[in-house]
Amino acid sequence: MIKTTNLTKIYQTDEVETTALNEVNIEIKEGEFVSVMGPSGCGKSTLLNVLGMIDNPTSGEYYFNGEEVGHLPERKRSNVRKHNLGFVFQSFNLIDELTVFENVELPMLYTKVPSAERKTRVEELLEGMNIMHRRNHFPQQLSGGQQQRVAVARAIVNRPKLILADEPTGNLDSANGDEVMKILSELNASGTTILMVTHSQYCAEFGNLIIRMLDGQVVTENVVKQYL
Amino acid sequence: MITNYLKIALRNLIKLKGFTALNILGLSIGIAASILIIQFLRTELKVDKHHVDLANLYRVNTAFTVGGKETQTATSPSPLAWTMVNDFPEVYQSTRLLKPPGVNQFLIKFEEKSFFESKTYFVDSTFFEVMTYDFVESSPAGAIKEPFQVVISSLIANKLFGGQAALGKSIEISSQWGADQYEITGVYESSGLPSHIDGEIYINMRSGAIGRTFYDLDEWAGNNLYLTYLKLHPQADPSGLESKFPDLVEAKAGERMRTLGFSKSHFLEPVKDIYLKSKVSYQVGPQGNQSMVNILGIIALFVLIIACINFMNLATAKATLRTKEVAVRKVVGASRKILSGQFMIETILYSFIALICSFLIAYLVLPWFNHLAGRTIQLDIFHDKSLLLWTVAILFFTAILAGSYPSLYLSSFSPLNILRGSAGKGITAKKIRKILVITQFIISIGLIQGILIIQNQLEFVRSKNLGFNSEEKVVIPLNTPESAIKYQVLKNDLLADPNILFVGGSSTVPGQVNLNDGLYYGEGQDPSNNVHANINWVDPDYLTLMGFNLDEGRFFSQDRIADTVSSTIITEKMVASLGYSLDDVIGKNLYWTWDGITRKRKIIGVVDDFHANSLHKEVGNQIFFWSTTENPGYLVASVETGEINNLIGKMETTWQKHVLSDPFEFYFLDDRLQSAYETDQRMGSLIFAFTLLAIFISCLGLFGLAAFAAETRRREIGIRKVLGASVSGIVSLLSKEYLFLVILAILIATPLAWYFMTKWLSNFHYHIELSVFTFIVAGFVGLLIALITVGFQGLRAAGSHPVEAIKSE
Repeated sequence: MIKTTNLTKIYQTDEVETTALNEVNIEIKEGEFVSVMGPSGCGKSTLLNVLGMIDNPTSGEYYFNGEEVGHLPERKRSNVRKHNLGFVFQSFNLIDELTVFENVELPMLYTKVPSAERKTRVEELLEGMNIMHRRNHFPQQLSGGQQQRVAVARAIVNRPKLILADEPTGNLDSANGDEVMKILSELNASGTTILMVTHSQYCAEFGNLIIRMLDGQVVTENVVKQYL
Repeated sequence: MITNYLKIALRNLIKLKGFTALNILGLSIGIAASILIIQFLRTELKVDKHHVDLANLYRVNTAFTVGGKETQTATSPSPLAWTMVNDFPEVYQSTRLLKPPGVNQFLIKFEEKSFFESKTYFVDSTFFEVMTYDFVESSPAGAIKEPFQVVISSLIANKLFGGQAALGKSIEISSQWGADQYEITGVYESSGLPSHIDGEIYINMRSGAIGRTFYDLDEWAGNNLYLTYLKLHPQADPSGLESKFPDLVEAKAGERMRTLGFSKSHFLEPVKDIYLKSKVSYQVGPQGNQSMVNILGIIALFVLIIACINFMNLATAKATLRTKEVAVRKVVGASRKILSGQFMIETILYSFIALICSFLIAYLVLPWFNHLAGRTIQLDIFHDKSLLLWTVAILFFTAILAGSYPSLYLSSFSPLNILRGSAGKGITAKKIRKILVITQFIISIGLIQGILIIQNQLEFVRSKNLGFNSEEKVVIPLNTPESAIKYQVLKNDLLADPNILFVGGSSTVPGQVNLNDGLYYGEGQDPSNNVHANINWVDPDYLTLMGFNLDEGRFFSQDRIADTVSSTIITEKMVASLGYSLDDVIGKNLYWTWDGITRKRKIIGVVDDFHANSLHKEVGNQIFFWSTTENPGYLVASVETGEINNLIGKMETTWQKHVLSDPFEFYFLDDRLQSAYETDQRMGSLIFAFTLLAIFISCLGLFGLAAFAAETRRREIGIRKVLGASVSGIVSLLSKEYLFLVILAILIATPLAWYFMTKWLSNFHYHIELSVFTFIVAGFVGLLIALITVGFQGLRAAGSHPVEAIKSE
């Protein structure tokens, strides 16, 4: 599903040049659950952003489902993104002015899913996440765990092939963190590919492959468990 | 999707109440001001636009050249109209309108009712075929075909007959020329179709003594008393027609003009341009003012732009509050185009709410606006389709202008930058906000400079020495032979009252159109080298009571009866025009030649030049003759105004004792003279009011921006305070940025205002000189307003508890 060749990202300011990704070569197959670990500033979030097509690499290639997408213009990237990817952020990033229902519904507005189907899908997901009773609440009225469940629901509502999760449990207590990891595992079990950035070894081990990074480079890839 | 946009827009609107209130208030006031100005301008631009075949309607004006100097009038000679139709194939139809010379008012009587009406004209039978009127009784065709037929406005009909039908009724119309009975053959709606001709009563020109004298007056050179209107064939070329005029004038009047010592030419003026653009003398209705219309139009645009700039500034300033939303929408698949659309829809929503509020504001201030504008403007959006169209246009103009930049700006945020926490603090946006603030203040300060100059000029007009004293003068028109003949007894009786100091009589008074004129020359000069002067037939007391300042010689004297036939008093300008010098003019003669006979009068006195007309026009040559044979057109009384109402009551009693036939009418000379500047005053007031609005809206925006700046620098302010910064230090920290912007705006606004106000002042022949001081004052006022606005926010920020600010980080 994902293949990168010498993927490099350099941030340039007036005086300083920072290499966030340095010739990264990775391959993620469909159905994998990959955890990316490493110290702060090692480039894991940059890798997630580039693979999530919200940032362009400076050089190298990025193949998504066999198509080079690393250097697509924003309009085309946006199109690939909305049909194929789902995002879960550490800080949830729910829109405060929209209700739980509307937040989850949002991605489907951009993929032009008919209204009735939107309603069914959102309700199914909210039921599944046990937050149906909160459907008309605003994000600030929810606990952190509930907010992250809404964020996960929003990430999967368009049935993406790949979910990118950036420290999804970073702002949660352990119980809520476990809950979210359980949901992600279930999604993965049902066939969704997941790429997760985390500081937590515990969370990383939910995946089947752990990529460790240092100074913008992949240093090791550990297989945690093999799929049958 | 749109529902989602509207939902989030409304929720943001409620969440950010302060910003919403500022935005909606600014936009509402801006839109309300624009709607009112547009309605006003529509009424100004509507004048004469209703005439059928308007594109083919022209008035024949005349340009006279006397002594090398050209003057232009709306009038032309009597035979011109018919000759045009008969001799020139381009002309389809013609008609004339006449205000008989020396008659300023007609006495209108029906049974017991009587009143004076000045808007009374004698017209040819074709008048209502050339000009379009909205008849409510009878129809234009044949309405005024026969002598002693009259068409009146619905206003006059109501005055005379209440709500009853006027058609077929007989009224008496009288003036110095006598009284006649007229049959009403038509009534038109007076409030319907605005025209540059202010007539309320139109009389068939073949009627009575006036008809006998003027209807077929065969004079081509002189007696240019008629307004001649032509309707050309659609395919006719007006400039081709004009090119035939010189030959016509030469053939018909050339020799006689040379004898009389002047030349003239005719030219066409489109009827559609007369109200706003015509600069010629002797109009028959109040003139509009194209430059004021332009200024007001520009102000309407400026006020709207200022309001839109507010919106842009506040929307981009608060953009930091929307960055997360933009990022999330982009991450889940929204393109920049879709996001721009979303923010545009939000602006349309804002504009729509503002539009509703603006109508409420406009309805509330409409009576005040009408009072200021001197109009009866209505805001009936449900029946006035043009207003509806204008409203929709304003809505979209506002939404596009106000929403385009914020939507492009907001949608340009990179989700990556937002997630990294660096969006919305862009230097570009800050720079653009500064440019927009400068633009607002260029407009506001330019307008302040403009209104100061307009007010100064109007004050100059009010206080300028007119060459006579117009204060405490009561003018009583003597409109009919019955009243004019009683002048002497009225004078004697009035003088018996100790509060009436002087009484004098004159054929004309300043402020009235004076068609009594002649061509004169000095001793040893060629009669063809003559100068034009207006004649004032007066009795000796008139000169004294009006306060004309005697430079040389003496006034007419009751002891020197020869003064009545052999003497004249002239103005200083006339002395120079005749080629005399002030030192030796007394005793010299004034000459004029008419029909081959030369006459002369000895100059016995010279008075200061005086403004018989408004200061828009250059002061003219004036001469005074002592009138004993002609009854005066006006009685002027110099009065003590302590108990003026009582005094007027006594004057009315005296009038009724002697003049049984006519109602008593009077006016105060200074009031009437000021009415010449009514358009300027009204426009000045309107511009003043809308400038204040523009400044207010600018301040709203600045207030919002300063509040935002103070909020974003809250922590910095807290730290500074902990480190010992004073309140004044904090205020100056927050204010100096805006101080610089406003100073820059002053520097840009000043030359622009200087240029445009110089152009405006050129409308007045007598005007103030532009002073740097005015511009400095205006700049200072702008600066002060800005500082107060920003300083208030600075004080608030400086007053907040520093610990709270630091803790909040």
